[in-house]
Amino acid sequence: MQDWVMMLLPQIILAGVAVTVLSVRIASEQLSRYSTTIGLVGTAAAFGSLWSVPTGRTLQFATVDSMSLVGSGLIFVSLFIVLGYSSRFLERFELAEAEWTFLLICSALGLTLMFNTTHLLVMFLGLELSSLAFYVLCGYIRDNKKSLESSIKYFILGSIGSAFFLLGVSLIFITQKGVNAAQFTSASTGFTLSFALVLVSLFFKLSLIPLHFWVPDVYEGAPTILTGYMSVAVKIGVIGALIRLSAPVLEISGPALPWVAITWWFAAVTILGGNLLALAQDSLKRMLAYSSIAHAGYVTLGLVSPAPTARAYTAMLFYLSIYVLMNLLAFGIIGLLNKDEDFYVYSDLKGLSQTHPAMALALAVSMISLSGLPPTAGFMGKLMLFKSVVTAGYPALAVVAVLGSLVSVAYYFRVIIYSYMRKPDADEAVFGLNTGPVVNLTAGLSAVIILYLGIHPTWFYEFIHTMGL
Amino acid sequence: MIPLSLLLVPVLAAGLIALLPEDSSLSKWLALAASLATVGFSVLLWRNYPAGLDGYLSGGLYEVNVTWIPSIGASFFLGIDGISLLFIGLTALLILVSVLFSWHAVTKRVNLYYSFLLLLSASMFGVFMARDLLLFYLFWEAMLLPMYFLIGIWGGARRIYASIKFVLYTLTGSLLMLVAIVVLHHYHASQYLTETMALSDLYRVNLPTGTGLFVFLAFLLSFAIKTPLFPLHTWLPDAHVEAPSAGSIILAGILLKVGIYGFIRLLVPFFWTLSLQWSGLVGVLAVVGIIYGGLVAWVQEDVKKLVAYSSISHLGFVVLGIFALSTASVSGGLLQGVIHGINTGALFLIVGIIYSRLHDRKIENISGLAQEMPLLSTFLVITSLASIGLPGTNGFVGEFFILTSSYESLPLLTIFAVSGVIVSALYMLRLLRECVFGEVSDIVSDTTSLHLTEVVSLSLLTIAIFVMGLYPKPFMDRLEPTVSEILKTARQTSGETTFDRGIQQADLPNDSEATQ
Repeated sequence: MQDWVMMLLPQIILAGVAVTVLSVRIASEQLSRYSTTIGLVGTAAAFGSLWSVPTGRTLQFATVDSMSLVGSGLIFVSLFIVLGYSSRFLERFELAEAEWTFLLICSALGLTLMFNTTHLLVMFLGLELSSLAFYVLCGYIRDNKKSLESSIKYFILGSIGSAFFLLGVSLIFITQKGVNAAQFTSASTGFTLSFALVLVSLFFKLSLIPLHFWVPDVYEGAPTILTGYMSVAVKIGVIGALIRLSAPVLEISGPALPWVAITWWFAAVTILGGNLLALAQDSLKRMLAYSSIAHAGYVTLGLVSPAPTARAYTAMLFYLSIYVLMNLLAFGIIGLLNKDEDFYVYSDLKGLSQTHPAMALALAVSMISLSGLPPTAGFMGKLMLFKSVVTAGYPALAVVAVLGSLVSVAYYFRVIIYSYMRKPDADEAVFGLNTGPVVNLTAGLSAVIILYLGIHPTWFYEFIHTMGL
Repeated sequence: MIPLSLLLVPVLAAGLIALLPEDSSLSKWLALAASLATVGFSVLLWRNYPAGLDGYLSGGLYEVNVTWIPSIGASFFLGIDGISLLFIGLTALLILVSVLFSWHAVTKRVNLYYSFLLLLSASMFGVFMARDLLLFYLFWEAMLLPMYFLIGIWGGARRIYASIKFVLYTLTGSLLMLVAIVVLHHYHASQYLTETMALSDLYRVNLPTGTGLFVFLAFLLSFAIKTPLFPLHTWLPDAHVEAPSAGSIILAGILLKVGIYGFIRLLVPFFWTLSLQWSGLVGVLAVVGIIYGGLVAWVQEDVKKLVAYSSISHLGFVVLGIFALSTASVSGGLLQGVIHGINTGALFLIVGIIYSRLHDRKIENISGLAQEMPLLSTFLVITSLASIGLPGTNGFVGEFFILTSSYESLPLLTIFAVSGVIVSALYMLRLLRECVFGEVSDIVSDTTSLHLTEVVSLSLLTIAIFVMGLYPKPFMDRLEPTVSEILKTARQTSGETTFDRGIQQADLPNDSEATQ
């Protein structure tokens, strides 16, 4: 009994916090204004409890090892950052705090579940829990049509994706007599096909091309900080699921499952397509949506190998952690632009470097990091991924990825051009940033860490690596 | 100590300047102090560097070697040898000149400007000192960002187009080079079972033919774009013309040299055999660049564009020298690289002064400078003659070395290259005739005199012109041992046993240029 409590302590804490927030909402109107604070404290507690989780134990429904701790840690960090930005956002649009916090925590809970198990049904549970929370959160700005559109689109398309997962799981149950990946025995064509269905669903959530069509509209309509959180956290959860599943499946499948071909093509097309499509965008959020598609492609590079090594997984997690930092920084600053509506274009950034020099610099750092240029952490992340791809024996894919990076420079630097090099015309509104001390601190700290990791990534990389072993 | 200071002092100064309030004049003084400090460090380096030291494989003088990223075998490995020494000196001098010129020329967002300038200088120092491939790449790419901001914020009318074109063009080569670096590293790890990025270790890697060709071409492309080698030069006129004057000085003076540095530091030692095989083609492109660049410069209407194309032309000589692949020709090429940095830096400085006074760069509008701005005209005439290669000035020394020593390996190309000297006379003398002499045109007639900072920077460069022109021996004494060592190692690691490209010291024609 005690075992599973200790193993799932972070999740239990999170669930407890979610229930607390909801109870407070029902009980007292006054106290519910502190919901985000309660959420922040709870997230911090969950993060802290990660250190007391015993690793290396496996239960029927949960597998907790150091890698899942890293993944959970990343999800908690993203949750923490988003909750930190939330109260400003919620005040500005006069939205209810408690429900927002509750739903966000539920989504984080679901995503960590995906990482902490090899049992396909538990994975589905996590997937659905987080997805349902996101469906509602996307439509949170109820009088904004775009927000509602994003919610409905996500709901319909996401349900189809989840349906694929469930169908795949049922067929796997028939072929394998069980749905725990760790207990899979021999493979067969039937199994390969059913696993392919599961893969379709996971790739859909990861937004790999050609399963990406839901992303631009959903990301653009959803509240900006939520988009930032979704783009980051869902990737972590899904990559976790892929890591958990790929190891046992590849072991038993061998050549029957063309894993390398699948991942190679998905990664290549996603990187090139995501970057090229982002180039054509005028809306900032849409650009960032397509860029997140491209980054999903980059992360998938780590999986391209007949037998992904521990180093490859480390490279992927390393890249994801850096991605958390830089993407949340980009979305966070853009979301702070002082506009009445939650819709931003490039020209809104004009004059930013003179009204808010420090934040403009942080934004520039995040853009440079997203495009993968030294001396930022984004470069180090990409370098490690390139190394794993070349070591696995597919240098051509590294060339494709590099060409994608080249294209990405064009649109990321457009942000810098508008914030630094273009002046607003006399009759154009200059949008300042709706900042405050906490937000400034978060942004500044993120930028500094990005630059520091760009020069000295070893301590963090080795930390993830030893944790993952 | 010194390598780290060369990196840290500009970065710290940049950070301090960024924190100063917007209108503070302290930023200029801080920048000046930092650049004088780097000049001081280069002088110290020069004095401590013995003339015969090759200092190449081990890292040379002032080695700094600290483990950096063990999972990829990269180390923070800095070192200074003969080649680095000269280019570091060039960088320090040109940064000082830029700071001095920008004193009066830059009036908006001054703090940000000097911060970027100093960050740029730090990354350039890093490129010349790095002995670890990943570190080299980091500094190589890090040069792009400050330059991008400098052009994009303080540049001319088409600055946004020019800056992003510059970045994307250069990045294409660099990113392909990144894949090549990872591939190289991977092969070393599989052949020697140690992960390393240190240059001295990577030289011994044997690549299979197809992969080797890809890696070679990736490196070649990257350096050819930076140099620039015809036909990959089209980013240069835009970048130079639209850059602010100090930006042009650094772009032409130093940024173009890192490509040349890359050729000799990375390309030739890694790929001796392939370099030999491709030297013909690259030589042809170099000579085409010399003549084409010169002819296009001849018909330019914009002074800055004329100087930009003259850069392409002169650097063709350098590339020819390097790909002739003998000790003398490579040393001549590298020396000419330094010389070109000084000369073109001076030319862009003068053009910048002209533009700041006249607000026009069209040759047809400028005339009679000799009467209104005699001091400036004197400097312009001296620098132009140096650029053409008048004996007594440094331009002669470099080109003469290159031509005489390249003739042994690439005779036909050298014959064509000589005509480049005449072409450079064509466009330079045309510039002088149209702008310096003749009737005073309208815009020229009402100009202010030169500031002290401008006179000082011009004098520094002119002194360098004559010192290197009349007594190049100390420079060659420090270059040649290193170059000889590099070529010897390149030959050895490539497994070549027969060799006819003169690794023995070519007899330098001592009597013709070094009048002592």
